[in-house]
Amino acid sequence: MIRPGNLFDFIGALLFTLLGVVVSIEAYRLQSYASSPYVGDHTLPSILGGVFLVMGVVLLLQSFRLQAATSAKSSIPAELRMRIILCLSVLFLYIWLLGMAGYIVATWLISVALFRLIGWYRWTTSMLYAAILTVSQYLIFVYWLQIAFS
Amino acid sequence: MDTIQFLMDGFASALTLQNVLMAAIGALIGTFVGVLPGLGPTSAIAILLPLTAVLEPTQGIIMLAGIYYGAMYGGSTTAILLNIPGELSSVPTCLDGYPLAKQGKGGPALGISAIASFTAGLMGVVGLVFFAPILADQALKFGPPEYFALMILALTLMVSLSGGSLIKSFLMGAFGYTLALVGLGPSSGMPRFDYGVSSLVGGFDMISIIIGLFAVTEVLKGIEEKRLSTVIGKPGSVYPGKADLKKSAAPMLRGGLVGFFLGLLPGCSAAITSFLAYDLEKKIAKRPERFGKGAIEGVASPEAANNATSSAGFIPLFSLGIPSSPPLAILLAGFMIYGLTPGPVLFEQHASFVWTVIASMFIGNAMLLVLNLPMVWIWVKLTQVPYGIMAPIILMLCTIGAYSVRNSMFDVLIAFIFGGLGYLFYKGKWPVVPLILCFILGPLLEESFIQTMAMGSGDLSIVLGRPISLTILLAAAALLIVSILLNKRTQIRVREERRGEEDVA
Amino acid sequence: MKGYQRFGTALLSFILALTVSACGAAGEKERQTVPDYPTRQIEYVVPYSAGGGVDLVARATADYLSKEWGQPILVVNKPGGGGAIGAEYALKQVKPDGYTALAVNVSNTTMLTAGMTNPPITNEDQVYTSRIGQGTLAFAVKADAPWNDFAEFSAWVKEHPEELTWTSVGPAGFSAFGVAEWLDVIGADFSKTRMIVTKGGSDSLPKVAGGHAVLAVHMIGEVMPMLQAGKIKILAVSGTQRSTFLPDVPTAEEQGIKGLSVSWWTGVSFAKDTPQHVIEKWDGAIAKMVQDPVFLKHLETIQVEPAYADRTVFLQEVTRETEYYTDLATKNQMRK
Repeated sequence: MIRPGNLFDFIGALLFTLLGVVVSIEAYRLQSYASSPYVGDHTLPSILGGVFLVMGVVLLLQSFRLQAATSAKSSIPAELRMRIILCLSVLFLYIWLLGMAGYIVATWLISVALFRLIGWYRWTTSMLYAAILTVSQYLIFVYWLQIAFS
Repeated sequence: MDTIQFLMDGFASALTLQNVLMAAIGALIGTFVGVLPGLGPTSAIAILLPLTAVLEPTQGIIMLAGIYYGAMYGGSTTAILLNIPGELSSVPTCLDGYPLAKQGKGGPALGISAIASFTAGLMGVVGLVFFAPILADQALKFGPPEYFALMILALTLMVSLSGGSLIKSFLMGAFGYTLALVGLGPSSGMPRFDYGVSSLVGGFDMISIIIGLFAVTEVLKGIEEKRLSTVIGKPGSVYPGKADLKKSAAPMLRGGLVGFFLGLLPGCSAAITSFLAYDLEKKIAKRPERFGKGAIEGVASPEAANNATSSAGFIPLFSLGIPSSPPLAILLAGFMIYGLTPGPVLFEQHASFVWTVIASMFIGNAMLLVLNLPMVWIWVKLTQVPYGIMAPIILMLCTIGAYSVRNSMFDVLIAFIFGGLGYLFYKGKWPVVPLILCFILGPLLEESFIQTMAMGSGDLSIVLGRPISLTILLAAAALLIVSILLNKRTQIRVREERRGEEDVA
Repeated sequence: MKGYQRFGTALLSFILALTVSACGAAGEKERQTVPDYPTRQIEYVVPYSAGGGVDLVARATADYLSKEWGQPILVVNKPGGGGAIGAEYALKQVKPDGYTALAVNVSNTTMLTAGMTNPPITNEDQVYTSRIGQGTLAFAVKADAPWNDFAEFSAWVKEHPEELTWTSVGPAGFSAFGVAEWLDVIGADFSKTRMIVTKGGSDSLPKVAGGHAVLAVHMIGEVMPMLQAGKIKILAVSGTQRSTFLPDVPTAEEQGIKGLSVSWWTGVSFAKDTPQHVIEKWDGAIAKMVQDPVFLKHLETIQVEPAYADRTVFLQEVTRETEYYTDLATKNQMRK
């Protein structure tokens, strides 16, 4: 079994090695635009591709080797983890909602959710806080400073 | 002696009620905008530039400079208290400022940062007054090979800022680099890493990435820890004690010098000099392992470098008309709009204007100190707002901050994605500082490399053939060796002391 | 916000259409359905760094138009990629609702099309609205360079093309075309010279002044500060007559080098699906603007000559120029 502390390294190393392949392919493609085989937009991508591949593989091996050395950190309670995931999802939802419902509605709905998720407030309190936040942000940024959310 | 006379005249006109008021308003507005988490100097000046366009030239420039200084300072406030840098140049301030705030020393840290900014600002302005023409000439000697060598030197910082595993920090650095590559390539003008997505052709915006990695990640960490107040720990005293002042006096001076001399070079932004200054302090410290855990020197030095660079940037601007950083470029545009072309002729034709602006920079710096030291308690109080209220506000401001840079929802999306990534990096102990560092250095390194190769007809040995670049390269090699040795030593000590519990990033 | 607005506008125009058709006044219909513009802040994208020629003209324009229309016009600098990054953004990445204008110039239009077989943006992606100003090229070298005039310099380059390094924002940049045309005229080998990529005037002139590159070709306004500082000298200006801003510098033609036609211009354009009434409104306002003494004074301080062209003439000129530059680029293997 691979312990959690190592699992992060293992997955990270794997992803970075993959990124190395992607970067190398792109570097190869870019070479056709350059006038010299050494200088151009492809030079640093190809170096980086090499760095990713070499370092990624080394870390991949290390994450097995150092297995015993790292101590497993106590994992966080399932409820908190759920809240973190929900919080992020709500943020992504915000981007979508801003385009759909406009600034005021989207901001109010999302802040109600955030106040509940992060502050553990009751629904009514969250709605009140969210309303205050939304109105003040709207007045400062959209109304006064003319930032156009569209 | 003429200079002194001119400066005195400048003070006389800068000290009129109206001009002092402009400096004060500028500093105040700048500070307020900078203090909002997610909004930093560049966004602040960009958002507020139209407000100053209605003013007279002298007042307009004074106010703009005030906003610039103010936002710089305000950005440091959020960096220290909330671990949210408003600008890339405040990232090094986070490294020790936030741990200090967690220990209840947020007040003194803010005080030191204000004093460091003031001292370095003064150093920069003095340099501007007395040495502008000589120094500007020296800056011209820096060509692509020298910049290339300088970027290599800056890359050695990765080793000492890596904290834990070197391999991990190299991988993260390479990742930051790759992110900077996305967009149109500098040499061919052809898009790369865009994969047909048109948003990617425009590249990633730095502000949205730091908002994600710092601000959003910090909120997620807060949820995990079930934080109650924004900063854990007692507010503590507001003014820095004698011990802290004594400890940070030398770092301030060194940071100021590093920031000043590197700040003369066009393109060497405050983000680079503040990292270098931070690293310098860490290297010469007797116990470098304290850095990243709340060393007051780690706040004083980068803050001083940051501000000295901003002031030094006025030297190439005034004497040659070259802006050395993005905010200065906006300021230059301000000059041009008023029909004032910076350059030696500006000193001759508009002497009273130039010296009034220079004098008002002294005043603006002093103003910032006077305004901010008493206001430190307000910011400290701010951190006692319940976390459940503060966090949603931070997230909403982040949205605006990320969006307003390019008015693009894509940037907001990137900020949130990097918020999630930043949390995973934190859980997996992957250091984010190398990522940020390489993201800043990436474009500069690549450009100077391509330019150097063109100069040397495809032969890189030109870097070794020029005295300045050779010296910098040798310094880089020496630094690299020192860094590796120090890194080993630090790691061993850290392991001995606390069994490698916490990570730098 | 936007959703409401759109809904509101739709509702309003529906009611309007009802009333209008009820009255039977069909002739009034067209004039009344021209929507109000602008009703909010306009973003004016400048694809170069602040302080350059394009930027300053755009800022002067934004200044005038925002006063004229009573709506803020925000100049946004998006430098990089020879002006293509900002252009791509303004023409392709935002909604073509007329609230994102693009500052165009030779480098991100005709020269871009000429320099690439598959350019990220083309003439077809945009509606050329108005040309605003024009500028003359200045050939700048280091102040203590051994050449005293342009003829002497040209002779040296013909002899030693491999020693010439020149700065440009990219292979399809303004300076690249200026240099290619000049080398073509004097019969020097373009392919042996070397280009040094820079971010624009404020980046490239220090390189020439410091001796890191031999030649920089820029607009007069951009070379002025360094010239006045005594760090560079101007060997020649292009065009048929001397520039009013540099009366002492002879033209290339005076020195026996004829046929340098590459010139710098800047104007404004919009994404291709932008409503027609927006284009008309801008073109009309700009035509008025170039008569305004304050604006003209402004152009003079930044050393740009007013050269207004309406949308029809502008498009013709651009089309002609595209062909010429494409030929030039093909001949010198600058196309990629």
